[in-house]
Amino acid sequence: MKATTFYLTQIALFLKASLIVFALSSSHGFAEEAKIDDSQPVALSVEELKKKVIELNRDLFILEEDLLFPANTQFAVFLSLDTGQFLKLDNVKLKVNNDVVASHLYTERQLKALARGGMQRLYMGNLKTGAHEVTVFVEGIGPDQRAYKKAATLMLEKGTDLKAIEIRIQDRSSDYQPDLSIVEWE
Amino acid sequence: VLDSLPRQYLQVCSFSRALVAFCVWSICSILALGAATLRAEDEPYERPTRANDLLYGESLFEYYQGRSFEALTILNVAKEQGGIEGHGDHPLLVEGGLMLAYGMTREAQAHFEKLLSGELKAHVSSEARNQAWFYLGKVFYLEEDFAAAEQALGTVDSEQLLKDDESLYLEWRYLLAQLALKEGSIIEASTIDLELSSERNDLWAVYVLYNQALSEHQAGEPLELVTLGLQQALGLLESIAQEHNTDANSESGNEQKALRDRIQLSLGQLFLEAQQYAQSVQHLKQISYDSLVSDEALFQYAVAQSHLGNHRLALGALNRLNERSLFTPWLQQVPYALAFLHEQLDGTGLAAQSYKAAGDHYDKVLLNLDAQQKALSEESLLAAMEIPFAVQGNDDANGNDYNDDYFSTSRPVLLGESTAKNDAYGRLAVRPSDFYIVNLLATEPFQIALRDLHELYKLQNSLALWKQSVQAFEFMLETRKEQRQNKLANVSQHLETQNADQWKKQYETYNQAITKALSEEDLEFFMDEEQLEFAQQIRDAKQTLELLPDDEDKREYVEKFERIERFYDWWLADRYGVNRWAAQRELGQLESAMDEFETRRLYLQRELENERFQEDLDNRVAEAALQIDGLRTQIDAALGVARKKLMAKVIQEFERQKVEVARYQLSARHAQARLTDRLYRESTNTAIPIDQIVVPMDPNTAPSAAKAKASAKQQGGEP
Repeated sequence: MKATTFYLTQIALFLKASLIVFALSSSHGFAEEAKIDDSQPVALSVEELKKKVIELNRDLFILEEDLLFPANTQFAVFLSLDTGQFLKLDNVKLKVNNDVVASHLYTERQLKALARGGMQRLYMGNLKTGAHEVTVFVEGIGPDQRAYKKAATLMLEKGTDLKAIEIRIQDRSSDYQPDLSIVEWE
Repeated sequence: VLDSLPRQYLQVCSFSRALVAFCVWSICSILALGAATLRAEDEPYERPTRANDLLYGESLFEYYQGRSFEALTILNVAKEQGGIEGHGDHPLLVEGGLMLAYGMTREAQAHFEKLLSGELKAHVSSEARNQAWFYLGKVFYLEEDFAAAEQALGTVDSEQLLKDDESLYLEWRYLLAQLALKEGSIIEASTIDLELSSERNDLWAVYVLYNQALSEHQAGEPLELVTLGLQQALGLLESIAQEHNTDANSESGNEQKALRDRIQLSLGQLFLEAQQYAQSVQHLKQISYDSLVSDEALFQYAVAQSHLGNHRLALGALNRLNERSLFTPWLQQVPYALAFLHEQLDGTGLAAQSYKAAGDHYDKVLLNLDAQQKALSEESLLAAMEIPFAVQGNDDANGNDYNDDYFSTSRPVLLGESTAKNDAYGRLAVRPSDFYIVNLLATEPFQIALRDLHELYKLQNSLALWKQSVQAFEFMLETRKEQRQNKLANVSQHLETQNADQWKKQYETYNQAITKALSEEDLEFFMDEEQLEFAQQIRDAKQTLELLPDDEDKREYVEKFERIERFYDWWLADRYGVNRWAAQRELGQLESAMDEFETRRLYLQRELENERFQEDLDNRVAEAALQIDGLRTQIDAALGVARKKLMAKVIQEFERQKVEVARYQLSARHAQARLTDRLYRESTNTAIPIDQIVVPMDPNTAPSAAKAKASAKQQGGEP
């Protein structure tokens, strides 16, 4: 019986010792790691690199806009969605001067992001100065779970400044219908 | 207690970690559009119900999809282009939240400290500010930066927090208690009002009581005091379950069960350590087979039953453990323990075989570990892990894990993929596919090292893509430059054909003639078409008159002609003002046209010569290319360090496992030798010295063998 106690206790001690060894070796490991790069932990340098990468991405973003969409011809279309109570948006199609320039199918996650106040940049392009016609077609599931389609058109005058418009899908509580409009941003 | 704070910490931590995403999310939700009211205390602020700034709206759109990097980039673009309008200082607060979500905790800390205590303090409601400090403190706590956590949590106004959100208040108390425990302070259990905690459904208080008891045990406090603390934790848990009628299958029910099992296991272990086996068994029996801690409980149960002489019950528990396919440290010892119990139950022969089998098993494990360590590479390490990835087609599903619907596929880890599932800190949701990695994956340093490597690969991939973009920009600019040169050449040629100088000269001549006529009051110069015609008629008539013979008719004609000439002179004088004004007006118009022409010509000339815009773009593209190259070098260097750190941790783990297995191997061989010797003695009645028994031994464990031999002699064990 003594031998039993001894050996099982030994197992337990092994385990305990192994945990202690593990704990010690963990701290020892850190000491060894310090030799690899004792200037700073990788996490910190990753954070600094992330910061630099964000700045670089910002510069590239602006550079790309300047290159591809100069301010005097730039034309941007954004889409916003109200709470989406009366319309579960499925897809949207955008026409500029009768040409389809953008279309999009929405995922659940994108719809949630829109419903929380996000705005989607649906299209970015160039337009000459003068009058242009913009038409948007929206499809989804409307009230009473019925397929819903709606379109809206805007005649806009493009000057030499950049032009941005917002396709706004709102809930209209007066008749429990979704409302689609195109709004020009100053 | 075999598994005291470190393991317990992981348990609590893993529970808490599920809330990390929520925690970071909450910070942003509080601060972003559509969340709690933020307003200046002295000035009413009407929260906008929709984005008032396109870039802010776009940034929110990216953020709400878990694309923190893109959202941060857009916020930075907005800042660069003059800031965000119509949302006060909220974007700055949201930026801090996004930094947290993107794993930039140090940056976020500095950002929040600046915002929440600086000039913007007055623009944030005390409720939002209080909660922001709480969440920031919690993030630091989970990041194991306890000093920063203490500082942030210390800023929280407890009364306000209790008034605003009781659950946050309870959690805040828990975090403070945990911080105190980590500093070695003992919290009096009496400070926790058990009745009130039960009423409030305060599970955090159970954690505090439990951790407190384990701290007391570590501090060497008597068993009675420690077990009393654990019993109090258990009592509070039961009381909460009864009072709030928790559904056993709910999230809270599962948490309570896990907590209950954990407390029972600790009680069982404490009594086992104190050699109170019957009491140990009573607690261990309460743990169900499907519990997270059932492996440990079964093994401790086997040990306790063995001490009580119930070898068959102990064997049953070990056999049950042996049936489990997952490899855990608690299963590793089973072959040896089984052999030991065979020795107790069935005598020497079977036990010797079992010890031999256990020894062989450990030999194989050691060989396997050795081979894996030798073949260790980044690829082999990643092959030992699996990670859920976004379903193909849902390319927007990277980032936070608050929507698990997208993550339905799992495959070996490919670091740097943006579709890999990770938590709010970027930690990968890895699962082990090889046993040697199991323990390692449960450790925070390994998880962080893996996260860093993953993040660095992601950055490296991004840079590779951007490099391609910049090369495309360079190509575009080069093409654009060529086109511009061609266009400018055409324009120059066209300008030349216009003979601009000749036109200018003619204008000058005309201008001088008018000026001269004006100064000389030259009436005829300003004659209109009718007058010119009339003048010509007069000249013709005069010539005709000169040819006529001098007679009565001629005199009559001359008189008439002279009357006409006088009328003509009078007419010229009368129309002079009008004619002069008409000529001057035409000159003015011509002058304007010439000026405009000149301006346009000069503009074109300037444009022909001006390369500044093009050069500016060229410079920006070149600068971006340089930045990318510089960053690539830095990322490569950081990757090298991160890789080394990760591999060092794995090698360390291999060594640890080899030492552990070698111990079991040595014990198994030792026992095998002992029994073989006993069998031999029984058959020959002759003893063999221990150093003559040949025990197969892995060369790596040779020193341990010597130690074991010495230990056996010291203990007076039989050879």
